[in-house]
Amino acid sequence: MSFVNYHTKEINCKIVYYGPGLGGKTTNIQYIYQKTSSQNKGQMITLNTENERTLFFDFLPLDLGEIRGFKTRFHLYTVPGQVFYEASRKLILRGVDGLIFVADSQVERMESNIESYQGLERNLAEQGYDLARVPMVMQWNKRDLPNIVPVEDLQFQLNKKKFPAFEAVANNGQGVFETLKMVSKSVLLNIKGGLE
Amino acid sequence: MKSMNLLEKIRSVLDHKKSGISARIFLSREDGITIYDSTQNQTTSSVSALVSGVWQASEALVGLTNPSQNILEFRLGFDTSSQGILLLPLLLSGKKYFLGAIYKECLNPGQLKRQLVMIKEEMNLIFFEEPSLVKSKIQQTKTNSDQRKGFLFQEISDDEIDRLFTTGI
Repeated sequence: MSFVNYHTKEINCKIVYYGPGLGGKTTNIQYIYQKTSSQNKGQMITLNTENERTLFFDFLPLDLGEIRGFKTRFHLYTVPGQVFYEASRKLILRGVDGLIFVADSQVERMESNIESYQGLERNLAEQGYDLARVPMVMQWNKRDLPNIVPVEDLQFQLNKKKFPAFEAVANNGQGVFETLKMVSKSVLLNIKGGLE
Repeated sequence: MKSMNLLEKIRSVLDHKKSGISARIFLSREDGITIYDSTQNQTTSSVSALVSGVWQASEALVGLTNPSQNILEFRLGFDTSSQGILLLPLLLSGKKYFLGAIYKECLNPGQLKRQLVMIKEEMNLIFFEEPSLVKSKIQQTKTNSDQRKGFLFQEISDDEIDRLFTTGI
């Protein structure tokens, strides 16, 4: 749940990158970290396994500028994508304000994309969220690879709710900020009230 | 105290307490947002995010073996005889928070832990009768808007979002 401090005019929001393992969630926030000026970012936390797979979560706090006099702070999290970390994914979704679903565009990863998306729906429902009410953006990642699913097929199979969607190549930054900006806008527009 | 809002009250209480305790003390919301940190620096947000993650994982672990436990009675420690971290959960205005201390080169960690427990108990007493603060603000916000009732912003342009990101990126 977003946190609005009317006294200090601050907004804090939690955005979670969700998706199948090796889809590029960590790459997204690593790129954001690299491109953000040092005074606007906190320490990036990565809880990895020895082979650099996300074990629990990655975390990047971003202090952006002001909007209508409110200072905005986004907390970016990634979930571990590997199937057996389901319990961790559920924990990280608690208090989520916005979601970016990072799908791997490769043909052979389509089944994993679908499985992950279904897991997301299930995990949100378990925690009382209605996916239709949580701001969400789809990212079709790895568009530079040769064996990729056409965007129309990705839309058909993964985006029946017609969330905004962006093509991306996260490791060179293509589509990374476009996706984040879109979900940020939706999250800010979705803020209802807060703790004074 | 009556005219102060909840956050000011929390900060006031913890500011008053921090001088008597030889540790970094902080209060984080359940979802990892920092409410108070006696050492404000670049690690502040990270501390709260990690605290939230560690607590939630521990809570889930306990739930596997004994789901009926009252989690508010638990504490979470990671320490040696002179340094470590202690987390205590508490409810303020019906929401869960974590009161924590990070300490090092501490001669008497037992005393420090007792001090933190006392702060928790004091906060429980001070904020026991504050359940309506969050709700009243939300209701007030809902009545302020004519078009999209209850929302902080009526609309945000793409240019505003671009400016927001160009400030920091």
